[in-house]
Amino acid sequence: MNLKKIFITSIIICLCLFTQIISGESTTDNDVENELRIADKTGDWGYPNPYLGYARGPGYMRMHFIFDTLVWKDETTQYIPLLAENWEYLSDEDAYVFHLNKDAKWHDMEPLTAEDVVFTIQYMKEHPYGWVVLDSVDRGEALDEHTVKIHMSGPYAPFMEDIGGTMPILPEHIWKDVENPMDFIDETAFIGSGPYTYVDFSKEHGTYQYRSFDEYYLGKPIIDQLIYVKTGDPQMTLQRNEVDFASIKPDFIEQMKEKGFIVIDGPHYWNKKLMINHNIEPLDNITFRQALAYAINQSEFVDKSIRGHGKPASYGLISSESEWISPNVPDYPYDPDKAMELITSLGYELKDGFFTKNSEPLELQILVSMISTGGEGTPDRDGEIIKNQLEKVGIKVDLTSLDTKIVDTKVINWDFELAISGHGAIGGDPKILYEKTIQVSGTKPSPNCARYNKSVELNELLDDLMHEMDPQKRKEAVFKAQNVYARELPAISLYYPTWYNAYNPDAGIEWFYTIGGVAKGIPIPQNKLSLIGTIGEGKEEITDSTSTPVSEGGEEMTDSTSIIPVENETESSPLILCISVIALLLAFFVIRIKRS
Amino acid sequence: MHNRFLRRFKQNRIGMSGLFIFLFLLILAIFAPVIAPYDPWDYSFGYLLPPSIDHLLGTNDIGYDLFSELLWSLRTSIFFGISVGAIASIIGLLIGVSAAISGGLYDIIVMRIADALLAIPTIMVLILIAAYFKPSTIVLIIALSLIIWQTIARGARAQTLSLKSKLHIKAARNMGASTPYIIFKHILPELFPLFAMGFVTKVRIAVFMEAGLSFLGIFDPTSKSLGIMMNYAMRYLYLDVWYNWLFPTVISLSMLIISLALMSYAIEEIFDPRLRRDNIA
Repeated sequence: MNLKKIFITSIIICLCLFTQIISGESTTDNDVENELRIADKTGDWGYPNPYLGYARGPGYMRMHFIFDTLVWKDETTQYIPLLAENWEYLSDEDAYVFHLNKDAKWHDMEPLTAEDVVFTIQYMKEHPYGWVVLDSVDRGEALDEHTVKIHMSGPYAPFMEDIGGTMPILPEHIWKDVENPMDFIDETAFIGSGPYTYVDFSKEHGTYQYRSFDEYYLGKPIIDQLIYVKTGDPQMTLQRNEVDFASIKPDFIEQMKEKGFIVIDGPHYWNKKLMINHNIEPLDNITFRQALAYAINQSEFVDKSIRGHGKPASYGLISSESEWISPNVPDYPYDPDKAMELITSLGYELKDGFFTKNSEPLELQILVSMISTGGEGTPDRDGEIIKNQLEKVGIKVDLTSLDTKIVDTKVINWDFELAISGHGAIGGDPKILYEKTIQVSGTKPSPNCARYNKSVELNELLDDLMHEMDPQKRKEAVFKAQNVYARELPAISLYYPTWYNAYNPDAGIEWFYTIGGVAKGIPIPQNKLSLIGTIGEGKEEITDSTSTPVSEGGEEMTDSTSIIPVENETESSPLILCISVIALLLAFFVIRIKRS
Repeated sequence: MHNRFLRRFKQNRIGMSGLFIFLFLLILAIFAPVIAPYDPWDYSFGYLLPPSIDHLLGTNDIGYDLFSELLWSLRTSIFFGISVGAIASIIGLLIGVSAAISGGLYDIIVMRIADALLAIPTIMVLILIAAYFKPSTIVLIIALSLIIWQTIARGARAQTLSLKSKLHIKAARNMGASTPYIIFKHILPELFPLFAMGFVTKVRIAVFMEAGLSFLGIFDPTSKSLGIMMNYAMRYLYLDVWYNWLFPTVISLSMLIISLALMSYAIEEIFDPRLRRDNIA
């Protein structure tokens, strides 16, 4: 009886195993010829739709394959046609006119029309979308089926990048009845007009799957299937050829190159900066802040904290690699003596190596965060280095390490003296200078915004920067604003780290860093243009970019792509076969022994 | 009583090996400023240098001499451990004895607090404290001591209660001895084994806790700590620097914890008749 039971069970188990093998093989056969995998360390960045994706760079990247914007950017050119074939700015009416691509279709094959653009503007005004602020836009107007006119409510210089190149267009026929976009998760929520259609997203596994949209108006994408996989060590996965594109550690550049991978390093659009509480003594004094700048040795940060993989920052916030960089930003070459001289000029006396005033020692607290509640530690040596540098010039430093969120909260509440922070988007549109200097009323305070509203001169220049529509005049304002910023130092930029990515050229895709970053400045080299080949040449030459909330460490730069035929299953199948046979034999053997 | 303990401890090989390892590490820690070849906060050396005569264990990612850093970290760990061990044991002993002697409502309240503390996961409390207060070493020493005294208090209370009913104490009381006299002359000496065991155990817990917390990044980032060293070493594991960076750190911490564990095991064996090997034999 027992023998029979065991025999039957074993056979069933074997059959199951076989079926798995068979089904495994058949999926391999059915696999699309052309598949590309991108590895990511975090995995879950929210559903790939405008409202459900997480408001971070990678969340936008997951969505941008499905939803197109009016214009786009590539490696070298600011604005190139995407949904809009061409466009013009009517200065007398303060409006933009976009001529849409007549071939553009939604994934459900409905045509994309000017009404959809008008609807999107209206919808996003009613249901604010984190990436796009539409305060500057009055309304959209469909001039004909493929022409849309966007009326501005006032001059807004960063329009093209901020809205034209970032706002994903939504299909009116689907979204018009959606009351609450945050609850809208049915299949139609992922119908866009981009080169890829949504296939699957698994929150638990952190995987995304897309299939190419054959009717895409710019031609069928090169890669049929695009997959994001979650992996603990993207670089290792890349080396094992399981993916074709991954972020890599700087120490492996040569090794990866030797193995035939192509290594790309990002432009320096992200800066580590020292936040200053300019409301309290002695940090409210410009001279004191300048003394800090002289006391800080930026090169030492680059050499020690990031072991040479980066460069010292410009003091004017805008990246020194941006075309908006002012040619004469005030500089503060490392000069501890000068720093001490400036501090002395403020009435401090040097006693036992440290400054005092009215017998009060000059002590500053610096907040750093080495832990984050998410579990991802981002320890670095910046705190230790700055403490050392400031103590050299006689400023006592109390270095305090707190959770990232607590540091952010303390900075927002002005409950700090100095804090180390960082943000991106300094290589794109110069409006970042406005956003990270001035607290815009009615918006949530950002922990990396200096909120320095007290300089009338700077306020005026920043106002021009945002509203001056004449490119030349705007540029002048941007240069001047940087110079004033660097002179008054509401915050001190420290350095730009370099991030490296590598990809397998055999996959047939050439990845690149987008000028100024994707959309509002996301420094992730996964521009969808890589997958659809080149499109038309750009129209204007403007630099822009916006901050990508890549935040500390840039851990999200962990993506990679590659075409991998799924071979593993065929390799493992003989093993499974052997194991099942052995299991069967063992079962018999055990029974026989028991019986005897 | 004490002489007997010392004699027995000397005979206990496990205890003695633990003691020797601990003393060795203690000497290294105490004389770290003399032994360490460089200032552990001096990062002017090249980064990630392999071990050499100049740098016995090489240097780390920022350019600290790893050997010097290791010695100073050991110093932090041992200082932290002994401080917490001493404070927690004293608190535990005081509370336990006083609860047993005074009894009544005080006894009930204090022992219920002890029970409640037993149920609270220490590490979570410390992380919360670290998140909301400035986590200086002293603050953490006090915080940890205030959380882990309860086992000693329970032991001390139980033993005091049983001692209270012993004949010699009753005799002393009948002869007019005051309570403080009885506590200091009769009860505390009897509690020495419990104190010694509790102390060593708490030192071990504290050393481990310190390493864990600093590994998580809760400690002062500029202090030298085995946990912080490990945290950074883990980030550079891919560079094959484990043998001169992670390995010595882990070994030092393990040795420290093992030596304490051996000692507490030996003490327990000496005082607990059930564990005594000669009895079993």
